[in-house]
Amino acid sequence: MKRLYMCIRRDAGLSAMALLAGAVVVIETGLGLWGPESTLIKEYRQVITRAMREPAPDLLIMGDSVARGSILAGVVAEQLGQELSARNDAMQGTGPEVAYFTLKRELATGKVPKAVLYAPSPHTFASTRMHIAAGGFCTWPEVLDLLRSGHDRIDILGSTLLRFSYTLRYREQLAMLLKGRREIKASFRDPVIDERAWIDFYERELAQRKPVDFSRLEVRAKYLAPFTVAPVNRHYLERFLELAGRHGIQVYWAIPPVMQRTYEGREAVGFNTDYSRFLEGLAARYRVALLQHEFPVYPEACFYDQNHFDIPASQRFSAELGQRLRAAWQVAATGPMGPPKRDGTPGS
Amino acid sequence: MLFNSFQFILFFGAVLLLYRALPHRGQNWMLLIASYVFYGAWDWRFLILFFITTLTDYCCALQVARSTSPRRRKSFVALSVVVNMGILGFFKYANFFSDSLAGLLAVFGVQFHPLTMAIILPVGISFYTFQSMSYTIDVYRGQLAPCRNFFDYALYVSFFPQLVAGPIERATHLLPQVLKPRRVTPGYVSEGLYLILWGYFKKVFVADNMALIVEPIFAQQTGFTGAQVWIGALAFAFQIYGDFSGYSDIARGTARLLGFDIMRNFNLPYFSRSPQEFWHRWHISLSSWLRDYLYIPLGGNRKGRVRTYVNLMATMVLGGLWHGAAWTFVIWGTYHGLLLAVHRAWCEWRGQAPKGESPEGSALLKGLQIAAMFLLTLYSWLIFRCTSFGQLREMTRALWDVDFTPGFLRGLAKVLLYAAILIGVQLGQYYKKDPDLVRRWPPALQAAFHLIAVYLLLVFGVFDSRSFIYFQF
Repeated sequence: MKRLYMCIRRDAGLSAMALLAGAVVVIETGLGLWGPESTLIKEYRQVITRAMREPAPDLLIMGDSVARGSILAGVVAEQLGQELSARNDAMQGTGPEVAYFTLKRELATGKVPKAVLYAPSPHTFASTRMHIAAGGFCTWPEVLDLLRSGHDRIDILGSTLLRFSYTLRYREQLAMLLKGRREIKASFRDPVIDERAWIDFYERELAQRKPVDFSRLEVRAKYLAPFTVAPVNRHYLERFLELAGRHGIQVYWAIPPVMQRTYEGREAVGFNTDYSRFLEGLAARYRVALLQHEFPVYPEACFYDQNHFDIPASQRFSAELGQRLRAAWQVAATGPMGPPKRDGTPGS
Repeated sequence: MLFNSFQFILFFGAVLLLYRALPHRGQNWMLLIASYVFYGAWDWRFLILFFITTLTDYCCALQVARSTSPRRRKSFVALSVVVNMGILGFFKYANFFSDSLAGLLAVFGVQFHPLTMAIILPVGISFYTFQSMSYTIDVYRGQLAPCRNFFDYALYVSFFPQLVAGPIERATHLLPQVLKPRRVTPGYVSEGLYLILWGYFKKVFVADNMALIVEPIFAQQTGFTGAQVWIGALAFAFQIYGDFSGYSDIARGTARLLGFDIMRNFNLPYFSRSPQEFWHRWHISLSSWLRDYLYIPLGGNRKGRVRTYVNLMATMVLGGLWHGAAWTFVIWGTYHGLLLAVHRAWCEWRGQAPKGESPEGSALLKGLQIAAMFLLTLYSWLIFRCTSFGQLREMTRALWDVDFTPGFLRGLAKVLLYAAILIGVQLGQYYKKDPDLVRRWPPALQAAFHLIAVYLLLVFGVFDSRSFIYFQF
């Protein structure tokens, strides 16, 4: 240490580098401690904190942003009746790895839900979101788990290191800030976890937006690509379903509605057939019941972008799911679970 | 493995840790293995070619040194040249020449369908073949004793910091550093860190942001406006300089941290006042290689005026072709050859000997000469970047059609904003005639400068691991 200090003192270039390193550490630490975190990160923390604080619901809703925004736990619980409770722990920008880790954390505290309603957007299985999990969600043991998952370790290590640099974590937002763009505020707003408050917030938000004429837009290529599952997504999905099965948790699988054009485009590339086959494979191997017979299609007016829909459509979808769940739940309650059938009715 | 990838940062960190723990022989072994891992990360099959080149030149040089018969010596050096040029010719130029032949025959109405092969161009092949070949030639010329240890020689050819995009190091400079124990002094460490930081700044901040401006402009083939062409050429000038000199700086910096000294490949090229000076400042390792191993053996300026101009043109045309198997590169080389020839003729007419360093003059004259040479260089970058003659023709036509619209001024401002720090530092370096100017500032000022560079790099840098332009050569 003393030798290093002497070298730094003697060499102007090294002194400059030491000053630079010191300044970077001070800036990054300061920003890390006092800089605002993004809505996404705050939302993850709040969802997990709530899950650790509250008792386990009868039905735990999980999935990505579509499940987060369009499955209203209150509406589903109302349809279920019998004083059954439901809670939405879906998190935007996440894949099966976050569903797995969330369920694992909840089970570790001794809270076991009776069932999970899992409603991921099918196209998300093609892409990996390990960088989000490693950089913003996982605990250190979970990062080690990610490293053992067979996914690109460089991607995981790089994303994990982002935790130490506020600047790298929020470089896009900082660039926008320096360019004087105001949209940046939206990236740092406080998340709304409470469902009633969330409905009010989104109704206000969506009322301010201009309606989109989807007929003039090309459906995004990523929604129309053939159905594929990235190996790491398959890995965590299987572990998620195994974990649920080991704890006697029934998983109900829901398919979120899409626009007619998306549905047709997917039919043309065989996406829907492949996804059905994939789900049937899961239902045959795990304690998974499929809630829908076919792929739901909603009118374009229900959507505020090509994948997410507005509050009335969310209420409608949640009510539909609730009704289907009630039927499935009643059958499940009457006897032991056998392999589920395509329509979600558990076999005997 | 790209310098601007997280993978490389991990790799280099591991190399540095091991390097510090090992003695000299162990360091050489470890660097050799690391260099092969570095190169094999692209495609392990490239290693086979790489090994053939290394083994051929190692054996040929030993045979050249051992034999006393001039004929035998000549035949071994010829074997080295044939193998190196054969590998380079096949992997880089086979399809180009067969397609060009087919095109030429078609002009005369002869239908020829060449067998087009799916050949992958090994990364950095032009760099390492030139480096390895120059070793055999130096041994042949008696400028260097052959290296007895194959592994030391293999390290000289494969040394990873400069393996895929130069500088093309001479054996007389790099090989002794491989053979002798190296000492990493505090000065080396600080210089290394400075060069790496500055190199990343040039590549990730300057070059890659310029690429975002350049790519949409050159993606079109027709319908250019004058503003687009000027902005495109200017942005590409900074892109290619930032990209290539950034790579060279990172290479020099990483080598410095390992106790090696790698030659400077760029010396403020856009401050050149003549074509000759430009080639003394741009890609110095290639231009000096071409001078020593092509221009001078062809006769240089020793065989009369006409032959001098022929040699000059031949060297530059081949230099252009070295950059890539396309006619646009041949035109680019020819253009630079013509510039050099005209400059030479002008100097001869004025009774001056053309020199790499332009003679002193008034500040105004210097400024005008620099501006004129920069404009000529800008046009050469248009030739270099265009993907077809049609595109070059369209862009050349649009050059004369500039109007100072707000769009043009916005584009110009964007280019100058991204290049501002680079231009500012280089103006200082040129004015003070000191390429290490920044390192002579007081530590606090240096640190403040580095801090700005680091944060610009972190916030505005392009982090999609864009490849370096010169890797394809």
